[in-house]
Amino acid sequence: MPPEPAGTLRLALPPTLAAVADAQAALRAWLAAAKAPPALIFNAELVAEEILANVVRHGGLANDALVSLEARQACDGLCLTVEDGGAPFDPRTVPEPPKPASLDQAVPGGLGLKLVRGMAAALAYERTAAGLNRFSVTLAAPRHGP
Amino acid sequence: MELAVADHAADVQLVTLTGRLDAAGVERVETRFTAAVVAPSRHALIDLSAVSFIGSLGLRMLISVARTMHRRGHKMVLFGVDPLVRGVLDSVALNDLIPIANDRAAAAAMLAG
Repeated sequence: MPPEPAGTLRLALPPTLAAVADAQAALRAWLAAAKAPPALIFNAELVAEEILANVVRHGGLANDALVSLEARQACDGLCLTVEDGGAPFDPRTVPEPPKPASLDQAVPGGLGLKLVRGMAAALAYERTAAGLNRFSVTLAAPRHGP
Repeated sequence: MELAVADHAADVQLVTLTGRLDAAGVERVETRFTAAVVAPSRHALIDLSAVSFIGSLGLRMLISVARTMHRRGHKMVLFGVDPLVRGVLDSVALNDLIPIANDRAAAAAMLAG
């Protein structure tokens, strides 16, 4: 058995943007130690940010609530799972924002889930028996460097 | 997340962002970036060569500022984008809304064009 790094990273964070940044840093360090390719590390950080920041900003969680992030190395990529106790929310049901015809018509925002969808090999959601949102994103390892 | 402002030409300023445009970075820099780019009523070249990460909140900040400048008759051009950051910009077709150049000279040429 390889002694390190472990195949799974588990974090519990308070619902703040500062904690999201801490979680990204921990994820980055864990993946770098596992010698993951830079593109996979970048995509993992981006997906973690989009999901966690969404929960922090829109989940309506109490200040003392905790959000969990699990990162698990799959055979050819990475699976990120976020659990939170906010109102039931299936991110897969959010429609894509319309493509603006011009800068004047552009409505800033709503791009986070579009980015996640674009990077994900698979998305899964369930409302658990314990009453948590459980959202999982599978990222394939890039075939080519960097 | 750091921000530096310099003159590129009389009617063009050069704004350099350094760091990560993640949720926490955007929270720290957004007010300063908006003030630095919009307030002077000049065109702006935005140097992203030292930005190593961008998420949707960073995209939102760039689109929001570019839209405000556009309404005031000024242009904003991005340049020097890191390849992984460029992948994010391309995945939302940002280039359709905000011009993206390879380097500062090409960005300045886009302002003139």
